[in-house]
Amino acid sequence: MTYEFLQQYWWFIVSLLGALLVFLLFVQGANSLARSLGNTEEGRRLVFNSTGRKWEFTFTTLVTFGGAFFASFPLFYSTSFGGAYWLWMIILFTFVLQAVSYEFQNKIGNVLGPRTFQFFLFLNGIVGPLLLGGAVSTFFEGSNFVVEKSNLVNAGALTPVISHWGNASHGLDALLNPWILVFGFAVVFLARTLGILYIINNVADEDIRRRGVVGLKVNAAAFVVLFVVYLIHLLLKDGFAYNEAGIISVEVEVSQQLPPDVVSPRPVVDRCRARSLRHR
Amino acid sequence: MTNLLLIDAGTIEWSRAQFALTAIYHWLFVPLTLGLAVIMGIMETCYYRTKNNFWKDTAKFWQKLFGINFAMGIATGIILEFEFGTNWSNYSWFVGDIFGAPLAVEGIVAFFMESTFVAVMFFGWNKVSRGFHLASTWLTGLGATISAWWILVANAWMQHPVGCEFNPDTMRHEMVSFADVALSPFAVSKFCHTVTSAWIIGAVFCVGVCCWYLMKKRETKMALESLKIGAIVGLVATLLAAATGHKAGQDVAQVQPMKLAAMEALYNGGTDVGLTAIAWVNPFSQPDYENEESAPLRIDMPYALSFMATNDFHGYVPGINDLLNGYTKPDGTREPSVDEKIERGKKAIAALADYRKARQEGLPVDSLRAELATINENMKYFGYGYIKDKAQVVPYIPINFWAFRIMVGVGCLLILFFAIVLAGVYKWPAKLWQKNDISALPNWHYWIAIALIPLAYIASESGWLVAEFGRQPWTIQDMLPTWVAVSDLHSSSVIITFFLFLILFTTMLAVEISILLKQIKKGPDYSS
Repeated sequence: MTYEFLQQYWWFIVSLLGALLVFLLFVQGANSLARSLGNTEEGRRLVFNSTGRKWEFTFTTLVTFGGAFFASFPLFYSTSFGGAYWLWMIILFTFVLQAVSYEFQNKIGNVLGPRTFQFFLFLNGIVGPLLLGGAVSTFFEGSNFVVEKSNLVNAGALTPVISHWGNASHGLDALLNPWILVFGFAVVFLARTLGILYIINNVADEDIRRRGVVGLKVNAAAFVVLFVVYLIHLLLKDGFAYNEAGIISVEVEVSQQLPPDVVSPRPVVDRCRARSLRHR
Repeated sequence: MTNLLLIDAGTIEWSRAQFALTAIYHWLFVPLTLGLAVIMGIMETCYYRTKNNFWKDTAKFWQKLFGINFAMGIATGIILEFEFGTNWSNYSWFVGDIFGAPLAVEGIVAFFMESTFVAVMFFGWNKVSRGFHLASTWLTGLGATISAWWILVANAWMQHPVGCEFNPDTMRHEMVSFADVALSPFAVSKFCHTVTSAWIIGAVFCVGVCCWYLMKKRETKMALESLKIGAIVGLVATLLAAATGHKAGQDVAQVQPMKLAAMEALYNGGTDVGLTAIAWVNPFSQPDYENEESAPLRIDMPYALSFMATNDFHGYVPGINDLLNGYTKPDGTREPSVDEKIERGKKAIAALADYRKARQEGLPVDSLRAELATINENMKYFGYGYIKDKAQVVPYIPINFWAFRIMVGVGCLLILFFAIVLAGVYKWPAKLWQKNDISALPNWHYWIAIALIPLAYIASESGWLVAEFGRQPWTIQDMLPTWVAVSDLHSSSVIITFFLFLILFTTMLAVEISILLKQIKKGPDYSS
């Protein structure tokens, strides 16, 4: 097995885990809709108790997704997590809130009251899929970072850290890109669509099912529109290319070619520079 | 030399603080999970064998407490995993090939197993057969234990890196033997010591809760039966922890002698070294190890440290100054001084820089044999190349010294405690317990048992303080100091997340304790 094969193989595994994760985000989707699906306290509890039996799978898949990325693509892992710090931290934060909320929400002595924990579940239901979708979308849209492995040993390097994020917002900049938001919201509505389908099949309550059917149309339509728009954008947008020196740049048509000094390749093997479209 | 000035010193310290915070909180929940898993597994086995509903109710009660605690362990665990990337990005890149593997295996195998069977355990009563349910309960515990195995393999690798090779072309360490990493003897003894110490926490918790019921004269039967199981598990676990601790100590002496010297406040080593029972080490300042002969007011157990470290009463144990200035080992080989190691580390770094530059200019590997030879020859001390002053390689002695003593002291106290509880439960010797029944003792007896719960936690956390503070300044022993492992972040970001996590974890801990107390107050639900 060659290194190339293993890279493809691992990419397949990570993609599969990512796909499973999106599928399992129905837990988040249903939680974000608990208020509208179950308009009584009992209805909401039915929804939360139903997803409460499945949340571990979503969570475990997220952990495995992280571990698999760490093991198979450490350079991505270190650059993205260390660089887009705030994006990942917010994702983690809401997932932690979610993990404890299920166990604590209906227990006596939970101090903060069931409403607070239900709000945490709702918050994770929206923010989790949105930011996870946004993080995945940066694969297509690009991010602003520099990797220079020689920093570890070069006397002239500014720091020994090899990965630098291009701006001080550490990942929040991604949310300023409307296309990233489009994809993020597509994932939110996909999760909600899956969530409704799950609840309709899992909760034997006519009221909830009726409201689910109504919500299903709205959410599914929103997902399809956002997803198709993003897909068209993806097919039409300029792609990225890398040259022999390892420099990644936006591939532009010959008529639009940038002046040579802007893309002049430097003789550095491991240097890569990804630029998002905004920086053209 | 790499210019370190542009890394904010605050980023390093706050990143360390944030990781320590998460790890300390994680270790509040995990040992109870591991410990209660064994105890409730035994209880459910009793139910399976006797078909007596009493045991079912008892097992269910402890499983409820287990469940309240379980989620927090998972929640803090996921943050630890991701913090390697967010706060220690250079580290994640440099050794991700090796370190990522056990984490991935943990996620794929152990964590999935644990999450699957924990659902059967909670929701499967009366839905699956008794045998299947019993298996699920044990498999939940086994999953958690396998999970601990892989995490401890990862941790042990940082303390004692094995099974890897540096690749100057990719600029990272690559795994050459998964078996060496997964079955490293250092990892094995670390795992045994950590897991048995976790059983102690479960046992102390169980015995403490039972004593509360006995004090309140409630649920006496359940409390007495649980007390028996808790005390047996506790006694076995404390004895095992002592034995595995001895082995772990020997491993430290072998591969991290500086940690051992800091734990013992051993400034100057030698042969026939005694184990410090107690001495005055100011908890708030690093002692002047260069000029003091030994810590003041030192009382030691003669020859004990030599024996502990080398299995020979007259064995040689190096002190901090020996390690700093170099010494001759008993077998005649010389351990270089830290200054020499720094020189060699710098040589490795410089040769690597030359090598990379030449490669980028297109020179073939064959023409760079000299650089490669220098790299390979000095790679062992690579991390020392980033050390500016030899004092940096001495860990903070007071924390190591006192944390180690708290761990061992409380551990010994617990052996005694569990032995007494067991003697009480089984009324042995009969003469002594003739007039005293363990279910009707004066209240202060029970209060002692309850007070031991927080004390056991402190001891357990102290063990981790020794393990982690003792290896400073290394993220990976001799390979990568913390200030080269960190991410390129501004300290303000890390400070904000530190306090966010502090508030989050503390609030959730308060909620968990409140729920646990309410649940204990409510007591078990009896099926008939």
